[in-house]
Amino acid sequence: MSNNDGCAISRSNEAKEMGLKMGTPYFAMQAEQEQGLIWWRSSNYTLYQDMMRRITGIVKDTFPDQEIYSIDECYCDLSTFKHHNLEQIAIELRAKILQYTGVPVCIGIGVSKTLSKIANKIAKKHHKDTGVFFMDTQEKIDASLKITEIDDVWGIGPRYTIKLIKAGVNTAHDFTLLPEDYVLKLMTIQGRRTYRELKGERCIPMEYERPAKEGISTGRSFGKMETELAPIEEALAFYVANAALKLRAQNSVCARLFVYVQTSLFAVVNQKYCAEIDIKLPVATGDTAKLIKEALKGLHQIYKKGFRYQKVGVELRDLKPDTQVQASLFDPEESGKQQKLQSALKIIDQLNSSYGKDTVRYGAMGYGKKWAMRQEFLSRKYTTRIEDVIIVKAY
Amino acid sequence: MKELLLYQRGESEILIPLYQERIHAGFESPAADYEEARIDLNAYVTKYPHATFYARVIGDCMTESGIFPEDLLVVDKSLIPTNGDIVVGILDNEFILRSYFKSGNRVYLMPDNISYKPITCNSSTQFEIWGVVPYTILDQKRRIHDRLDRLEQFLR
Repeated sequence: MSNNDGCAISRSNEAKEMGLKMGTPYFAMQAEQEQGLIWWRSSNYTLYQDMMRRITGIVKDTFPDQEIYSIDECYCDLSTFKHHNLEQIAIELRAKILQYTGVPVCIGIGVSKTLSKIANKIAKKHHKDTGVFFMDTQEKIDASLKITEIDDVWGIGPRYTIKLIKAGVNTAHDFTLLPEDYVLKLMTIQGRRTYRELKGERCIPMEYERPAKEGISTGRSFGKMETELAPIEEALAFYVANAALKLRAQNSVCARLFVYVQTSLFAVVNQKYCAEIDIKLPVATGDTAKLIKEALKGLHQIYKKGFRYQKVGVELRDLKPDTQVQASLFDPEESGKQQKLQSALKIIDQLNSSYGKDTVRYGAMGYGKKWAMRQEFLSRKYTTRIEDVIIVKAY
Repeated sequence: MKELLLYQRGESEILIPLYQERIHAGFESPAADYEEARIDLNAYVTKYPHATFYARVIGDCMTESGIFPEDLLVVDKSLIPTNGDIVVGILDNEFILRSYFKSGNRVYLMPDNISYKPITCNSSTQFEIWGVVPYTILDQKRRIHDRLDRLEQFLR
């Protein structure tokens, strides 16, 4: 289910066979759920993240040059494996992941990232037995591109899809038949990059290290609409604490805060309200307490009574490496305080990572978390909490 | 710019700090050069952390193997069971704990407690091996009352 248990997001093969579509709302599935025909679960990101860590770890043991692209995808550079039987290695790796984690994955191998993504889709659809598709000949590439709709190509968004279909381009193969300067004119340099990738040229490099984020934003819809200031303050403090954790994890500090509140997009016109505020901090910091204080000050300026708010969010901006903050270098007393603060923050982060999020929290974050997203059908955190491990029957 | 490798990070979660807090200008401990990573139980019981899961036991059908209710199991999914191994299997959509025993063409899921019966695996049983249990963690504190009873009987 999506955040807030609103609709179906990811479906098992059995559910797909029943005709359950992505985005099917909660109420439309309720009858089947009550009859015991379908089961659903809230999004358990903690578990998914750990399973991903296991899977990418297993992949890395076979293919060490790895870029983790999303929660369920990674790219590997196989150029050093030229003289190996890649297909066989991939089939064995896939079987190993299935045995070690229970998760069936697919592996697509192609010359470029864009082609490998198409190969992966084909593996998923047409090679269910091995879960692997190796796009190693021009014939295979052509056949694959012919059955790939243009909007399924990585890098071609909905806007260009419309343009391309108008120009008679329905498949990835059609796209590769266009003249290159036409593609450049129609879709700029990004489109040409995709075009060249489909033609077997490696244009999108591997990104082994994620570049430090330029801004860190967190914000989610509330479980229900909120009208009072207090729950919105609590939620904001939570998001700031989350964002500050990420900030410190990449050894950055931030110099600006951006806070916004909004009512539902579907609210009628005179009940619609959204506001934002950009706050410049006197000194760049990674200290959660200072950031919460400033964010709340900002919230007080934009919050108006009388609206039903759906969401609050924060973005930390103007990030810089924490080594660049030297404002207090010549003030020994202040610098001693800073050092103490840094070690305190480090310990808080360690405690929260060992004993569960929010073990050490700031007062502004409150206790109830009544505003939090609905996760009524949450599965357990089987692999990260000792009290949540699987139960095995010995009787 | 090449990064300087200060220590090799292994699979274990435990790292030794190079410098704890600040360095005092005094006589440096002569033991500092001999510092080694503390013994790590994780490394001892998990051969392959990505394939290792933990599980809690309910029931007493494996007590002869020293596995008691509430004990914690280390389950390694990378291992293939050999005869006599303790395994976690899935039977009728539930995790069960038994010993794996193959005799001829037959596969049995054996309890290790005479008050339970073996389960014979045939084509009609929906069974699959989920993982092998190489280690278990027994809570000796919880067993203290049973032990006291035995000790008293022994002296009697």
